[in-house]
Amino acid sequence: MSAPLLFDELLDGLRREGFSVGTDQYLRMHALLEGHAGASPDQLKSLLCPIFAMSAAEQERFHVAYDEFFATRSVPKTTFSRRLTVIGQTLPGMATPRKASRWKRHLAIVMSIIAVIVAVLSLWPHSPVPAPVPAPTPMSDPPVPAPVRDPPLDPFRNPAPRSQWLLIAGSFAFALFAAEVARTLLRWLRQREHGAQGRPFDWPVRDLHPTAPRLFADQRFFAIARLMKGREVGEVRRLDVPRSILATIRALGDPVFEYKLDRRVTEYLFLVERRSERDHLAAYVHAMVEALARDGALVEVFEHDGDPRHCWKPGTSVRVVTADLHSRFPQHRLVIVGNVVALTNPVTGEALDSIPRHFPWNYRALLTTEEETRGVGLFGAYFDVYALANKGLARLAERWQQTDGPAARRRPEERRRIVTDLPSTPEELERELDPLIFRWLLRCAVHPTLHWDLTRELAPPLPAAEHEAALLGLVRLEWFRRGRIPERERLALVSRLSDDEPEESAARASAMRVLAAAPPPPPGSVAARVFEIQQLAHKIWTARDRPAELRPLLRKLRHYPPAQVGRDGALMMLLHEAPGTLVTHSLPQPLRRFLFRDGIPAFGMRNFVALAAVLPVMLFAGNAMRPVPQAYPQIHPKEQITVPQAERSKTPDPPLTKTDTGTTIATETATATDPSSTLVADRAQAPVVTLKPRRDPEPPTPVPLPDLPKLIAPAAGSVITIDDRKDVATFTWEPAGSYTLQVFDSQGTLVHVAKVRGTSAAWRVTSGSSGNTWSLMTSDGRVTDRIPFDVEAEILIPEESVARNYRTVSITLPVSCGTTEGKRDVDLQLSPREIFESAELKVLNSEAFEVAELSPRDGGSFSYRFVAAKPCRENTLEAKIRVTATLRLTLPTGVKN
Amino acid sequence: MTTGNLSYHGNGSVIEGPAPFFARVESLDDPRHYLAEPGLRDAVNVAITLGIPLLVTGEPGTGKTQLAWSVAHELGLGQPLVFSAKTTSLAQDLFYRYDALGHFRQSRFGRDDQSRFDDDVPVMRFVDFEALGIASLLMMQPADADPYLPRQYRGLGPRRAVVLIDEIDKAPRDLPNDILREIETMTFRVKEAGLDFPPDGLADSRYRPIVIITSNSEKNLPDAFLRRCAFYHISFPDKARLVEIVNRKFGKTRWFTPQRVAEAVEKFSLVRNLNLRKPPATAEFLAWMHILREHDVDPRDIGSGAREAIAFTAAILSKNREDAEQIAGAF
Repeated sequence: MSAPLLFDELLDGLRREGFSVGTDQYLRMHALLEGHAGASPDQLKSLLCPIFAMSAAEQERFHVAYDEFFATRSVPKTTFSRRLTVIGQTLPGMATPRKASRWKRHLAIVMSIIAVIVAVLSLWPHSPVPAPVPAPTPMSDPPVPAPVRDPPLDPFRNPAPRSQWLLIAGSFAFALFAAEVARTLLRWLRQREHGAQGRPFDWPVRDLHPTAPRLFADQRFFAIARLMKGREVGEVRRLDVPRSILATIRALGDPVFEYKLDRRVTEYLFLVERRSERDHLAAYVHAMVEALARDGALVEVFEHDGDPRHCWKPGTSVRVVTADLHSRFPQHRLVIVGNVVALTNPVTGEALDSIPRHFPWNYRALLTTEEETRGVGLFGAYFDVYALANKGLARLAERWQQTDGPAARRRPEERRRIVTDLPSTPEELERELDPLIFRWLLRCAVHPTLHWDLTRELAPPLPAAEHEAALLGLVRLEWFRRGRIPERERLALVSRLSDDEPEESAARASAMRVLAAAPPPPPGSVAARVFEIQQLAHKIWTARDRPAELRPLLRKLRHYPPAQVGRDGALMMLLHEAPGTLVTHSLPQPLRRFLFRDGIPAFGMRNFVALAAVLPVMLFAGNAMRPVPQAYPQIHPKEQITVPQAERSKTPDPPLTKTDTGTTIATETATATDPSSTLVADRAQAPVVTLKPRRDPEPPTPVPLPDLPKLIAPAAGSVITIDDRKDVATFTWEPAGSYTLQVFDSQGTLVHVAKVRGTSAAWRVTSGSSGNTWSLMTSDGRVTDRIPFDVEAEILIPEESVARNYRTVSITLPVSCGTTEGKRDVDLQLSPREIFESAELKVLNSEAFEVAELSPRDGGSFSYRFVAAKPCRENTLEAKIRVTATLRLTLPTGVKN
Repeated sequence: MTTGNLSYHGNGSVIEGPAPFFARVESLDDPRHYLAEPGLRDAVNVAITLGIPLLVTGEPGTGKTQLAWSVAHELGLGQPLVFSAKTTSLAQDLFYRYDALGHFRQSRFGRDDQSRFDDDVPVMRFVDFEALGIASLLMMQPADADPYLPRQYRGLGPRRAVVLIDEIDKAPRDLPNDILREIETMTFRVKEAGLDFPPDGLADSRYRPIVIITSNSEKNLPDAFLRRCAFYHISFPDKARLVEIVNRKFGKTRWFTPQRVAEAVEKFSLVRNLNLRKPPATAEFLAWMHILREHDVDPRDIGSGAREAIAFTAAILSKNREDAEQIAGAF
């Protein structure tokens, strides 16, 4: 058995973090430890870091990984001797993770039990007070024996007073409350033990042992790499000594100097579009670039967010102007990857004339995610445009290899604006996607978030030759650019996948395998908790038809905050349908919704606790609603009540009914109206008790909802013309009533809302617009269908119109975990009539930062500086910023709109 | 507030007396005043212990280059041997340069100058050793190395030397890849003369040079090269460290009172937080402090609208018009 290597776990952790740890590093580390035997962990950190880190980012990551390594093992920060670090022994002091003390939990349980007992004992009636016994009615004949006062209370004959019911119900409710407090306390303690409240909030799922086919590992790609790493002619002329000697000899000794142009390695600068941290298309391109680098091509990578005029280095958040990169990479060949709509004029849809100024490289190419013909039509004059795929890259490499100078650009044949026309709904996707890609998409829906490695592992079995094409088709979808399938669509996809059980099982098995093997998030982070929930969710899905396995999983799920569990919409759907107890199904729906919101018992209540909570409340409510009964006299078996004979003769004996208790009672009222009349009540035979008939309350008559109003004008598709004299649009409907009028613009934005009465209302229109809709909302929240209409306007603008604060832009800014600063342009998409005045910036999650400074600049841009509150990992922090821009409409006075 | 010793007033007036001499601030470049952060100190020790080059990155002006002088000073190795990489540099240039034209000229026309050249012109006469070449020769005994060494290095060996390869990321991508073996073995071959340096058995590995390589991280360096180096990134110092640096560089004089230094650090931090295109680094900060002292401008007065002080500040701490406007606007 081989002895474990020194710092084996640390090195494994570093490998998982992506560090290059080889034999060289291990030997160097060993040599260093030999020379620094008495170093403390802090000293060792700065000694070991130069060996393993190869960049500033890796230096920071090493410090984090090293600190975590020692923190999780509770190594004292004192000097630890050479004896403790010999090879083949684990480090003493690196005990197993400290178990949290349980005394707090036990104390909470005991205190709760004591509180319940004390409460019940203090509230329980110790000596029931008998009901007052009325004086017996004097009887003439036969004589009435003395009444007996000691029989126990019979609730049917003489129910307990209301105060006792209140005490019982109150003590029961208190006990439940105490139990819930105890449970909440326990859960809080448990969560505190886990401490899952810190960063990172998100964590990539990485597959350390991928089984998916390797990308970019075929001969075709190797040929591309060979082409791309070819040398090119440089600009430096050097003396060619051999040729100079030959030339001098040929010239019979006359010195002739021959020069040659230097040849250099071709270098590339890739600007990759990244829309989100989990953008699969960006991951695809990075995988391609890494494959090129493995084969010797020299590629520098920067990223952009759709506007390649600004970019950033991956792993950092400091933005740079792309044109400034030219001074650093003057001889590189520029390759822009993505859909660069930002380089088009928003009005004309044509490519910007300033493109050469923004990208002053001799060689420029665009690998577009859209159709190649569109890209050529739009940007062909400025870029070599090819589709993003192996084929496109190969054609680009061939083209650049064949030409020593910048290639003549393809002239545009058509000018059309590129639009994002990828399908977005599952139905459209199924229709438009290749069945293989759609199947892959279904499998990806089993996990709430999309991760590059996980997506690749979830690939359905398909030929290796088709893998890359299918992957490229998949990652072009907008969801995979954003890294998340919207929950609504995901629910639909999961439902579709559930129809094919083997397929779903295979997908979930793949996902669970990857999650189990993936490097887990740092303990004590929100991401760690989310990670656990996601793993648990897969197990719940797998066991959903086996209640015996499902119940313990659901119990485990209750330990997590419902808010975090609720993020997984598909899991919520399953929990709603999961087999529950009788209680969950028998409760009225509103109560069930209240107590089992999203399938999770409210307040963490277990089912029987929920039942116990409901029953006394219902009993108490029933008792409270029940009329207070008369204080009935206690009747001795031999006691006789005199009823007037006349009355008795009028009133027939009521039929007797046998109850469950064996007591026979009269089901009809025997009214003793005449005290002179007597009725002999013998309990041994048939005691007659006067009871009022119980009448069931009549069910409430449902009030029919009024019909929705009928929208009359403007009718669908009608055009309202307004001018200087008439600038009011009139809306009419029937019948009359109180409604809320809503008017939406073509983007679906609510532009006018008003409380209206009667059958018509007016709205002052300021400008013409098309694609508007209007509707009415009733007082009970129902809304009519929207009626489309257009407005044609020819209005004389009497004075300058100003509109302010009518649009808000929210942006998310990737922030590194140290200090992040830079400049950012906010794309306000100003219309020609709008002029930017100022912007108000607010950081919505400022608690995540020690310093969060925003400084507005001109033209909708702003400077920022963030200092993370705590150390964290790269790319796990985002600043959420809301930009409220004040815009001014500049309609000159005296002209018509 | 006074703006002090202005030499040029920009209004046509002629100063009295001679033009002022350039007063070099020795303390700014004095390696005795260099202050390495603990991580950097450990990284240097790692490189010395393991005998591998130390690659240092960081913002311009954070003291990467001065580190070599500091190491050489503290180890008593004299001045470091410096090679400044250029966009036209070749791997061979790190070790030697061969003057082909000079050789040709001398072989062709030297006969006319009998007093200076013979018929048999040795090739090595036209070979100039560069930083790594000299460091390799210094590993040899003086008797073997001195015939090839420049005059100022003769008789010094064998000893270790500190070699600074400055801004290697400016060099072509071929350069780091072409020196992988040489940097491990510290040997090279002068192909024009067919000689290997140091010859087998003549070098003492105990005198392996200490190589410090700086980079501004403008380009990624090859992994194979990085794996052969120790690495350290110098981050920008915090406020307390800036105060310490000022005290070490300028000493505790009457002008550099704790209040002034603290205020200057605060102002400088404010400028760095402005998100400038080119944020000023430690070197600019020290130059700014020097100018403030020379012109007797109290840092506390800068914020109160002192135009000259703001102009000094913007001129020294900014590198382009936008940044200058931002700095001026901040005060």
